[in-house]
Amino acid sequence: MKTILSLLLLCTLSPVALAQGGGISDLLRSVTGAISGKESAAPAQKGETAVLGVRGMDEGDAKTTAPAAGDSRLLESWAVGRKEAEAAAARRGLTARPVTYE
Amino acid sequence: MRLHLLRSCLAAATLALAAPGIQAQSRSLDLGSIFDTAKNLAKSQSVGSMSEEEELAIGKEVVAATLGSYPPIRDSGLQHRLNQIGVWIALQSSRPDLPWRFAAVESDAINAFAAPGGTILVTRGMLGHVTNEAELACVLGHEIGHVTRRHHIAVLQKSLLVSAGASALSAASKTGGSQEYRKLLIGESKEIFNRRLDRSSEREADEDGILLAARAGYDPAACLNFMQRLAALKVDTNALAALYKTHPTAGERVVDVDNSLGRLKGAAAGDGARPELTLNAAAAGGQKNQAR
Repeated sequence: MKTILSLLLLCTLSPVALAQGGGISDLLRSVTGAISGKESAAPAQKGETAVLGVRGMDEGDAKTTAPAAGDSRLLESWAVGRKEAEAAAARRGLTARPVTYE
Repeated sequence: MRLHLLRSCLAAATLALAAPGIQAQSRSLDLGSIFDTAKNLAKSQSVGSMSEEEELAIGKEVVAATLGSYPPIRDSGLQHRLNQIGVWIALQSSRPDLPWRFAAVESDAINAFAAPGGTILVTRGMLGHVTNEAELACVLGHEIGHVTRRHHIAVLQKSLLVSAGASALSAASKTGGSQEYRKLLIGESKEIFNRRLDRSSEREADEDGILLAARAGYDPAACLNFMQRLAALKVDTNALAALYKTHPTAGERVVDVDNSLGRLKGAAAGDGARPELTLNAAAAGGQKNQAR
């Protein structure tokens, strides 16, 4: 009964408060799965602040980073095409060869 | 009675978890199916089904944000040379026609990054650590492997599923379907966080690094030399802190790389070129402050 009352109390909390409370969210997700009898989505592991395409960035930098469109354009100016890359490799004596894993 | 109470409470709580803007749409959702819907949607929108155009759009956001923290080294000659080497290695991959871009960035950490769509960033610290072009080829090949296998897109999709994205995905599935889902993916990519890829992804990328270096004509044993030297460095070195947050330790990778070398067919350890590294990151140091 106490459990039911506790859950009812949680229901009265504001959406924002619930959304911000990771612990509560995780608890509810777990309980939801138990009630529905189906596997619920697993919560993110502690310390893994989720997502994305760049690994190994310093976390402090990652949180304060601001897009640098000008630098992106610089990257484009340094781009090299297939023919140029092949010619440069040939000058260094590199030849492509068929290699696979057994 | 108890069960009924619990179900009512959980229905209300689940609605509370949804973002305010989508609550009205979510009231009629079947509680039991909310997470299944998200899971199924994510499954149907699998990594393989995302178009190259969408992948490039995500990558563009990621690169712009990353360069905000790690500006490129202002040395056109060095960058041009790095692109010649990088594109040559990428041409040996399963996705040679991606718009591959390579850049050396300002950071003393020994690291390299891959963004979806084919942009690879290598730190000044990494350029100072590799001793020849063959070792650099292994590093670039590793990152190219992450791109060709779309490892980061998979992580992004998984992350969306397990976080608040579960409820957003559910709402999106009711309203806009895959279009909304893809908008969510691209929007989410603007946020850059640290994330460890799983062990198997890193192993696959290491294998790709060796394979691509060998295909490009380099001595694949250079990959082992590089990893052994990395393993010999102190783990608590600042320059390695970020790398070890996101990769298995170099000691573990030495064993895996050694095993991979033994499975190569068409090239053997010691068979291939080890050209002198002509990217002089140290000489570009004079321009370091200018870049900031």
